[in-house]
Amino acid sequence: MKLIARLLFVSTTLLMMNCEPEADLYRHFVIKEGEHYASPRVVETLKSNNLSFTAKFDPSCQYLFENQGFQDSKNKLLGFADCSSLHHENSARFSWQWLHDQLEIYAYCYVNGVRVEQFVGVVAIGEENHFEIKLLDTQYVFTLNNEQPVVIERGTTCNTGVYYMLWPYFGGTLPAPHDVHLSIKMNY
Amino acid sequence: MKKAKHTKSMRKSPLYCYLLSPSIMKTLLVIILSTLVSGLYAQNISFSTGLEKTVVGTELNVASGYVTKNNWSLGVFHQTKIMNAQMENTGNKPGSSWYGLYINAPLANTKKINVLFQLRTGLSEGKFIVVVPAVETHINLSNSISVSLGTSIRYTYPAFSLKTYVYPFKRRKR
Repeated sequence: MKLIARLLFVSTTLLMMNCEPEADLYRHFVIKEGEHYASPRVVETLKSNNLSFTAKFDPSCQYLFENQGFQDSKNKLLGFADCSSLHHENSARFSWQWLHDQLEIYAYCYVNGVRVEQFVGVVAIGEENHFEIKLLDTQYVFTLNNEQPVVIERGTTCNTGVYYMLWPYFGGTLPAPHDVHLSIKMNY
Repeated sequence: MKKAKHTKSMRKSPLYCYLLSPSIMKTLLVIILSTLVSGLYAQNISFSTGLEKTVVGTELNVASGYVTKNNWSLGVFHQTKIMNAQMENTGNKPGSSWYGLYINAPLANTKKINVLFQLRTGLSEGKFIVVVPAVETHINLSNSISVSLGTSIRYTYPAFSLKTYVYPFKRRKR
């Protein structure tokens, strides 16, 4: 009985502790040279109508392809597949590309299987940037650093279901020309 | 003739209509069947409440379910995020409430301690399907009360829970 009482006391104390420093929730992703997928691989589903996160791009996010025709290929940052759809059917993501010596951010969606891209803004290397996708009944609303939002019509899809999240991916067609590092912190 | 009249008058009475309404009949049927099954197969009903600390904050869990003699259980739960000042300021509270079904499968049973694998499946904000696996260790304080320490994966990070289980009907010795 004493052991149980001790266990209870210790676990209650641990559970109730609220004074510990805030955890560093930045996830550091690396896309290895010659690969598309980032590591670590993360499996998560969306739990809210609002996907909000902060991202930092490392200087390694600057790249030049030998074939300049691929330079405007969109690399995926973060987003989600819409209600129980595959992501090539209905999804909403932020994407990025290094073009014109700047890091450009795009809204990148599939709406009933049709790809829709729209320019959102430009971000600086090494700085924290706030990204947000709001899921409305008929629209996706993309906001970067509280700037003017970009709205894309949402495809006809279900309401209740699995909204699996889509994590960083390099490409496009070509894989990463060298190791690419970026950090993402979810704002829950 | 008298019998027919009696039936006719009963049909008109509001109480009779209320008792015969499909929803009441279903509820009564579930209660009667579950009580019968509970008695016949040594099943028991459990009620639990507790806290789960996730990387995002602390959530209050309330649940109720059936427990079989082999310690399998199936039930329903509701979980709500306990708000703090920081969350209220940001106004960003995903998954602040979710509910659904849980199933517990025994991994190891002793008289004092039971280790269970738990799977919770539910809806967050009424539309987002969430699946959460967990492992719980139940410490039986008495025949009708136990506490559990659990660990699970929430928001891709480990989460910890502390719950109290109450079995209002006396359980069989395990």
